[in-house]
Amino acid sequence: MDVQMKRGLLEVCVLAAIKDEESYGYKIVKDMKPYVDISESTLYPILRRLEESGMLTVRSAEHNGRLRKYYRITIAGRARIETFKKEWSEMVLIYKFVTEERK
Amino acid sequence: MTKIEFLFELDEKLSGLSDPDRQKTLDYYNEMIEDRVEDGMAEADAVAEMGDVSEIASAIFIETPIIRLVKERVKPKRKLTGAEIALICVAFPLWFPVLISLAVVAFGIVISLYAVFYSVIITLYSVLGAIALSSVCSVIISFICLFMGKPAFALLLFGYALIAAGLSILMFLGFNAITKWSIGVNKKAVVGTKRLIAGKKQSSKENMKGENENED
Repeated sequence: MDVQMKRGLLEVCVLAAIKDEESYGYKIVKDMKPYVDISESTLYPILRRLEESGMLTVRSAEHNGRLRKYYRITIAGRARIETFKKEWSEMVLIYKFVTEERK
Repeated sequence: MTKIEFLFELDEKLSGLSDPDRQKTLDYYNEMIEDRVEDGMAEADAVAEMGDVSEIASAIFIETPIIRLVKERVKPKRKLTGAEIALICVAFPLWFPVLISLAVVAFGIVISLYAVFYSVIITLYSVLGAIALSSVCSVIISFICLFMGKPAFALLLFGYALIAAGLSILMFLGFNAITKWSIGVNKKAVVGTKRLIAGKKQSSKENMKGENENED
């Protein structure tokens, strides 16, 4: 798949992984696994970019005697998901057109 | 590899990044490894799942904008004394024009390199286009010669057309390969430049440590 396209899609996936409740790195990877295989090294820059563009916030909390980073979606992040859903329905129409049999 | 070894190696490879950036990265991978171990995985396996340290470092450098790396390189590693600050201010008319001219020269060099690169590409493909076009024209003229009753000429021109066509096909394949290769080289140059800017921080850190010990 086109690299840029995949990047954008992965960003939306990560946002979706945290849309219902805040989550942490490893859990995000596990939640995405049945749908999309993502490595830690791929996830890290995505989380950084999402934080820099204000689509999620980070907080550190204690867990079993060590610090864990928890990621929470923001309003901007939710808006991004909505945009994706809208774009997707356009994609479906385009796909129909491309694959349709025309006499 | 143990977690400590992995993190230590990663820390080394990331020298050149600002301390907060480096620390965030190490915290992230530490957390990822610990979470897997908590899930029941062996530490060595968890570390292996993180991937190759050099690749991780490369990916992070690629993501970091050059400006950040330059800023980090240029930052003074210890607090400046009042005298040093005053000296810098006074000498401003000396070092500022030099800095500006260096920046302009660097910029000029980069632009010229890209200009040369693109001119070469354009030239190569223009030559290719010319040869391909001449092949087509030769075919047309050779048929005209045939109709004008000059079969010898026609054959000559047709022969040339075939040679030119073959040549342009070979050139096309060759130039495409060259273009792909130079894009790869370009990427490597950017990463290499970033590494260069980030590079010698370790040795200057050690020099600082040496100075402090001497003062005691």
